[in-house]
Amino acid sequence: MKKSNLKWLLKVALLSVLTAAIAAATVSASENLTVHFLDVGQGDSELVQFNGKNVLIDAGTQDMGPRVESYLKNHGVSSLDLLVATHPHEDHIGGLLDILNDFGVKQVLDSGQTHTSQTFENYLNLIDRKNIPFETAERGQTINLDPAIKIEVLSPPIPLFPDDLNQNSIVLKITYNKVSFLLMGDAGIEAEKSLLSSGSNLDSDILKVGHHGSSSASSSSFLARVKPAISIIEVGAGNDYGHPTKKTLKALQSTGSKVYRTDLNGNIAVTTDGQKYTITTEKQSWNTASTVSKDTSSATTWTTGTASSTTAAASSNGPFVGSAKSDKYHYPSCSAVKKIKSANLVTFSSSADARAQGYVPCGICHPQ
Amino acid sequence: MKAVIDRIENEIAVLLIGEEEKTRVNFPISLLPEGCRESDVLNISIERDTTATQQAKERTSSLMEKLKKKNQGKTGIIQGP
Repeated sequence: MKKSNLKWLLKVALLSVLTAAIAAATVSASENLTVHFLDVGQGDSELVQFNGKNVLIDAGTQDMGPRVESYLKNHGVSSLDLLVATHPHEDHIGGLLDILNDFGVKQVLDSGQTHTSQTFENYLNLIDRKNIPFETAERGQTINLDPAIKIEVLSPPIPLFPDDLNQNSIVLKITYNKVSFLLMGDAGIEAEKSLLSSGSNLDSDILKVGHHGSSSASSSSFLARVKPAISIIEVGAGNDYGHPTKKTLKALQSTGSKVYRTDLNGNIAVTTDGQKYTITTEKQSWNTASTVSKDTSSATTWTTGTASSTTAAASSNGPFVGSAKSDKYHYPSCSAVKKIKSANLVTFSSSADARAQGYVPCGICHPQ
Repeated sequence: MKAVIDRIENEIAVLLIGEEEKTRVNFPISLLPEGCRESDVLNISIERDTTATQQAKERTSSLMEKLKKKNQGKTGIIQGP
């Protein structure tokens, strides 16, 4: 073989090795983690998808079972690697009955608390009948779904909090490279205190707010430690329980967190490559719909760390103002604004922002 | 009828009742027996009170008659058929 031929062969070989290496790098870099926050009305349900693996956390009330099932099917889920029941309340486990009946489930992680409802008994019976491996949660466990992502069980602690199903909710922290999620279930202030003193790293980009945004969760000391850029509240429109409370919405706002809600945004999905994340919502909140182009879904991308956001939020027709003492938001020029004491004045960057914090349009100036 | 207090949200007890607990009832905790808490199973009994029903019917019918008599001859802006 001639020397030049050999050189050529080497070049080709080197090139193909390089190409293969680049291809491999591209594949691993494009592997996305998606956490879905399903709109199940007044209840919780989250789906975690990574590298062909699927974890379902809660499934709303019993009547939401079919809705969760079709969501799973539409997202290519045929079986679940893990099913997590954060705690035995019906607005979290009700829909799991359909899932257990119709999907293959490789393992169940339960809070280890008993309850007296028929729904809970049926859930246990189904797991028994299908011989699904059953594990109870405990702070310090890790879930080995894939080597690339870390899933930690931060709560409940052992021993459990006495007589309070919510406080003993399973709390998970999911970390993919630089992006992290904290999923609180219905854990409240007592659980938060325990988390704060547990030494766990609570700092997270995305927070699934505890207990549907009620005032029994999301203490300011807790939020100050989590510092979520994005907060997601799973809550039913017009629910009878006053969720989310204005107090919680304000607390989230004062940490600088952007709030998404399933009652206003429908299904919410956060996709991340471990560096940046993109938020896709099924619908705009109603008062922003008119100001945004015809897209039916909105997508917003942030980079983590510094304030170098790559895309601006879909709606930004502010500023709007309101009073901490009322639930109306106004154009700054509105006559009602003059009556607001400066100490109570709140500013919103957009109507979506105002709406997300529980404010409604003023009847005088009719802000869009 | 059996019901279970699935959870307590604010001052509202969320009761699950009926076949396979497919019905959810929000019930004010203040109207439940003292000491009720999450996970308690309740016995709810509901009876028809036929006497009270009859009495209420009689009261409203007699009021109706009274008002009709009171207005006799004064049709106001309402024209007969």
